[in-house]
Amino acid sequence: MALEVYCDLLSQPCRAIVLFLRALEVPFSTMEISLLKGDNRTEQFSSLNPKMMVPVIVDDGFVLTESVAIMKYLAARCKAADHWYPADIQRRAKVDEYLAWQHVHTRPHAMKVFHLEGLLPKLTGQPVKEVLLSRALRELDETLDLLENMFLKDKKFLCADDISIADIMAICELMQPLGAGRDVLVKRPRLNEWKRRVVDHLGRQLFEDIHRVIFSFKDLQPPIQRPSHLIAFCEKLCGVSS
Amino acid sequence: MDARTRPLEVYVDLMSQPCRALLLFLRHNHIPHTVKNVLLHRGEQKTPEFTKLNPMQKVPVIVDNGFVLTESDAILKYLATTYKVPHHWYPQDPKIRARINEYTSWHQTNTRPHAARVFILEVLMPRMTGNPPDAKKVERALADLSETLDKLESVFLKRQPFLCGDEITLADLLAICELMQPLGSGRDVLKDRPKLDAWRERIKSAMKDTFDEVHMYLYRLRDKARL
Repeated sequence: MALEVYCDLLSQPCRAIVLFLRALEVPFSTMEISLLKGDNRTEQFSSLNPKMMVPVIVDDGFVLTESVAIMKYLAARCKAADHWYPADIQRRAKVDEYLAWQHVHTRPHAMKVFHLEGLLPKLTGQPVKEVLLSRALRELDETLDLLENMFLKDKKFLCADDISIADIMAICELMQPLGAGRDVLVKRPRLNEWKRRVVDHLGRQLFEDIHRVIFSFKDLQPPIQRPSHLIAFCEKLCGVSS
Repeated sequence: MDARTRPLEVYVDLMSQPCRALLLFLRHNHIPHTVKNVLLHRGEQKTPEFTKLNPMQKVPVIVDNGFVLTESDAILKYLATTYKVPHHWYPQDPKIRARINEYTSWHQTNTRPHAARVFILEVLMPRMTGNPPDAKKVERALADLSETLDKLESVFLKRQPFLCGDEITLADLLAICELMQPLGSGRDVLKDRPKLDAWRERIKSAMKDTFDEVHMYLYRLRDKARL
């Protein structure tokens, strides 16, 4: 199996895929695509993925985009242990339910906090837009409430008492604000406990290694390159008017 | 019928795009179900009873013998694997299934929000505020939707009759119901796009009368808007 993963560890879904493959001990090659340098906008990359986004995998010529689709495909292709993406229809449906929900909750809400507090200020040299950040933090707070009370409840992991691909996707999203030095789980003991269980399962060393880009992001000194497309994308996502 | 087996309950509002996708799938495949209407414009999704069922206060929701499931994406996939339906809806082949998952993921942050925004600006907000639609916002929303439609044509429908291959799948149902929504203000977003219009005709042909039945209320809104 010749598996290539086109990724940037700055991106949450990219980290999820790399973590999953490492947890499965599946061999793969990493093709680094730097979003900050605009590698995703080259002719070469856009011929691979016209949507110009990471992650992308190429499995013996089969090209696949969209991290949720990739995670589910890899679970089958790599014959992952059942708990990652259960064969039982109802248990699987619960993982599908979280992975659908997170597109418009966990993902954008955690991402906005990082963009407003971390990425945009570094890229533009402008101060943090405090009003927008307050709103983003409130939205994220509501999402975290739902994560605790609708998904986690009294289980050990989001969808069952065993870890699944939903947990890997979620934890990577919730790590993102740390790129600006903000731990969004610090005042949430139940979610913090869940995080500890996820990290223990994946391996603390591996988890921290994959997240090194995020841990060191806040120390990135300006000037850093200013890819205008990335700035435009972030501003649009965060509702920053031009 | 086994006393423990109750027909599937589906909580829907026909004005909701994902609810229509679900009903299209259920009716076309003759899956027995009981429809429980949750009228969004009357705030019925906010009742304590419904909130207990779905704290997100959203439709659709299904209850299958006590098993509660939200999120249309997950619901359609659950039904396709639980009930006896033709394989083409959500094939077992990991690569075709991956293509469907690829579309339904992208759908959540592209087709769905961009088509919905046009409807919200042109129908829902005027209804709520009494003011006409904000022209500048509509223009921006149409530009976003146009990019999405470009991608649908150039990426998903590039060399195939349906979004994920040669046969209709769950992806097509989800997509078409979103793209029908702007009809609520009389706007047909596919009419000047022959490739997408032809794809819509193929779906209508596959779904036969069910398609128009499920879109009945939307057509009524459209007809009123065009007066």
